Amino acid sequence: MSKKMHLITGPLSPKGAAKALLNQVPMVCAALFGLAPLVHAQSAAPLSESEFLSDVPIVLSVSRLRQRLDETPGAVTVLDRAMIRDTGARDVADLLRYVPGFEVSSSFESNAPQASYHVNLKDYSNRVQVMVDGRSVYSPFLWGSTGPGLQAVAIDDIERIEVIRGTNAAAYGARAFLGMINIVTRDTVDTMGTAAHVAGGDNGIQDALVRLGWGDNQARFRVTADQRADSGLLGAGGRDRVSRLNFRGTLQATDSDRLDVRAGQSTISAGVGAEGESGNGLRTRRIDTSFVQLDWSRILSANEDLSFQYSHMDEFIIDQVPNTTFADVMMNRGGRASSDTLMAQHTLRMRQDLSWIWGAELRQERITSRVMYDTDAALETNFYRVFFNAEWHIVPSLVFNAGSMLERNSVAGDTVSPRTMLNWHMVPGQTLRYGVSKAYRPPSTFENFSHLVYRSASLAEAGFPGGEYVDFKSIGGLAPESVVSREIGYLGTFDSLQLNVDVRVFDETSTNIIEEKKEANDYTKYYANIPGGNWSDLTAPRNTHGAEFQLKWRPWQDGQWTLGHLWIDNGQLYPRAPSTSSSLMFTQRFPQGVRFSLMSSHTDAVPQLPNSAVPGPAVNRTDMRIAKELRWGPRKGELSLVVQNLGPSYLDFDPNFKFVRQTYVMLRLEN
Amino acid sequence: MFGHSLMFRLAVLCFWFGCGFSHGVYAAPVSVLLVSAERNVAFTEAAEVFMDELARTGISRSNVQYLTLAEARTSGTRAGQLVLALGVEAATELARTEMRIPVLSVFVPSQSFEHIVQTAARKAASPFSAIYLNQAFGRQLDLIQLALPQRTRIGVLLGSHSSSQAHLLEEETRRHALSLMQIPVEPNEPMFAKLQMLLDTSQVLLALPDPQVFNSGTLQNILLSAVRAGVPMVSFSPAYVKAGALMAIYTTPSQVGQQAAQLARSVLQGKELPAPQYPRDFLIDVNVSLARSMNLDIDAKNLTERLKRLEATK
Repeated sequence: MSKKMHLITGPLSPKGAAKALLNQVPMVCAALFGLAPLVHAQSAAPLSESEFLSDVPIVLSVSRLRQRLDETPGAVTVLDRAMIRDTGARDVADLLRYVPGFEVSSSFESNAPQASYHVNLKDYSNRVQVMVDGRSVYSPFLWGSTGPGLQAVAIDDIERIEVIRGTNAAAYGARAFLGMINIVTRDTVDTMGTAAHVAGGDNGIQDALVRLGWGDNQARFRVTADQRADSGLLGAGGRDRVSRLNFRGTLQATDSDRLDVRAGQSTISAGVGAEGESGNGLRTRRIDTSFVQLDWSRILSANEDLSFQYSHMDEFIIDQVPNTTFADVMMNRGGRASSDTLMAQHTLRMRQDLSWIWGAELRQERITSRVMYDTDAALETNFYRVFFNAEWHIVPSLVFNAGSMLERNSVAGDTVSPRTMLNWHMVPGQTLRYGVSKAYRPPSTFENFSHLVYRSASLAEAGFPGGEYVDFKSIGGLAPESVVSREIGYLGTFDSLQLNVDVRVFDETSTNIIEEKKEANDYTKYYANIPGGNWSDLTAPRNTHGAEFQLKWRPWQDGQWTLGHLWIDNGQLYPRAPSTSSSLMFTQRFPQGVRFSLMSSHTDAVPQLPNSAVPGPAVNRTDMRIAKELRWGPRKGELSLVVQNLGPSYLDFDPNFKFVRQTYVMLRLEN
Repeated sequence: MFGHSLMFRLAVLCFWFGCGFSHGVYAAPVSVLLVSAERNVAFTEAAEVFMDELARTGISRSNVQYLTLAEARTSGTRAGQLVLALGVEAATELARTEMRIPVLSVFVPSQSFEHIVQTAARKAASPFSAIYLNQAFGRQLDLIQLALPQRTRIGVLLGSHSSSQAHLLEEETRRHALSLMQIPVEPNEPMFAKLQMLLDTSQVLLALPDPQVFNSGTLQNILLSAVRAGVPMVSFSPAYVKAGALMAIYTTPSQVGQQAAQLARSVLQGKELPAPQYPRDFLIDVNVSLARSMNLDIDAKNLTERLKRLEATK
């Protein structure tokens, strides 16, 4: 392959000086990075028979083929790139309101906008796993959270988001307790050239992105720098800004070996707290995250693959809280969380009807926070995981998935999370699914080891013994939470109506849920397992059951309706979860590259908002987006107008925080 | 390869004098001479089937001989009634001679054969024909319509070898009431943006043999991008199906040998060599795992039967 530099010839019939100028951009980029774009081998000989007769390397080996949605061991909602763009959402959390069963907040108050599935949005939504390109971005700091992970990549770099509705611990371990959000970024081959967008609008919205992709067939690279910024929720602590720099390199080392290198750095800077509020003064909190990830995959044959992954992540939380009541109390709620993960995986299609995947993972997490743990030492948790899953087509119409995760947690002990699922294609396009799975969530480091103590002279003067105020003091020895989940699913495709239906009826019974507790005569909080029921009835089962469905209907050309709905009876468990929620999305493509979308979502009133004991009224939100595609030969662009929350403002996360209507305009350019 | 050096010309002359136009080197004549630039698995298989088929109809194997070009040159073996050229290189070399014995070329793509005929010094008086290696576009489009009836937008990447086929493909897609998106790719031009544009607007990617577009360097990214975009590739080679194309329609070496034997028999019976033709028989390979993953109900055997039935009615 020629490495000499070439110009992209641009549009099919390039004309005009402006186009010629645009043509220079890739060359300049290539020159800057010393690499040439993809070029072809030049050939002058007549076409030889060898083109028909020669072997070519295997490309789509077993692990590169996606499992069909009606054969997966669970319910999956896929948000593809077109849908992501049509929503006008500015981050992943905002997108998840269109996934049945999810509750979403736009607040940065506790860490970053977050989403939870089937449980209420507490300060930290920690019972859902978040992965980006196979790497866990679940934040282990404090109680654990999806928030920072959902901000890990620019929304423009995302190829699709697969949301597994239901426990997935058998494949991804403890944190996939109730569900999993799997973010897949775009391949470097799809992001060659330059791209940029800028957005501005109400509420101080200032979003921007610059992306550069270069390379050839053997080695390709991408760098994306972007920012998502606005003034936050009305009444919240001020401006929120997420800035990210992400790199991805893909090296096709041999016909069968591929190496992917990813690295990135992000900063979530949020205005939190309230002026003059004791213990929660107005301030800017920063979460700085950096990571590196190496993936090596080897195709052994069309039916067999090996893959290895190493990743390292560092998370620094800088949160200095002003204290008005006790001004001399040092309230630094910051700290550091880091992790290293090493994983190996082997995929084998033994026969056309039997595939097998198994692997092992070592993960170490270290958390350091002087204030939270009253020590400078790092608190270490090691995870040793072995997992497998078999997919057996008993007969063509019957698919049986069985798998398990064997996990040893150096703090919480050993757990086994099995799952079995039977998918029955009753007739083509009509599938019933039934399965049972079990999952665990080990206690977080904070839940198990917190010793949040403030010391000062003023506290001594105020009568605190030894001048110490012990906010949290864990008793340790917590058992992992566990859940047994049963589900019946139905997937139907009605080609004549252009309709797809996805129904999940679920029953989830939990034990040993970890909750905050405080003795009646004490102010110090700690965490404890609740074996069942609630604190007043420890023997009653903690059961949550309900149903959710999603419809996709294309009644006419280029028009699509997507409807999602959840009904849930959560009994005594998670009493703040809404009983119903729903979302509706309509998209229509018009001639001349015009796209229109209208989205509406509803969440029932809740007895308590996540950040307080105050009831939260029902949330109704309607968004609208209209966009016009721009084209210059092979180069594309788009001008869009998005209005978020066309109706009245609603309370989000806290009784003082409101999501008000906001409008923004975005210009997108790609070469 | 073959230049126009003095040594090369001498070698060619020597070879074809050996085939009955010279008394310089003498060897016993055979009725049918098979020649190829090299022996490979496909050529050997086709040659074996060809000779077996002729033997079944009473033409002794001693009257048929398979040699490489080099062996034919040195041995001076003569062909009495027909030369079967296997591969582009053998066809090209035979086209440069002025021999009067009919020559049937096999394993030659149609565009290469047309190119050979146009540029050859060969006189029209000597029959020179071929069984093409590639399938007729009509057959490929019939297959797409049978296998993927909902998909009507066909995308094609055209390079320097395949661009000459564009007008034929346009005609056939019109005849099949399909829409065609053709994107020419210039030599040494980056393909990523154009591939993306094609995948955005197409529902099936029809691969045409062209090393400028499809080679071991580009195939990986084309196949991965196509699968990501949900656009299956229909190809001309079973190796592509193994690599990740959804299906391929092709003619096996054995089928080539059989069809060539039938034509040879008629020539040996005194009939004229027919005009160049597309292969009569074919096989369809389907990537079952990919079809399942894409939720496509495609069965190679069933498709083969339906396509044969469809062709029988035409």
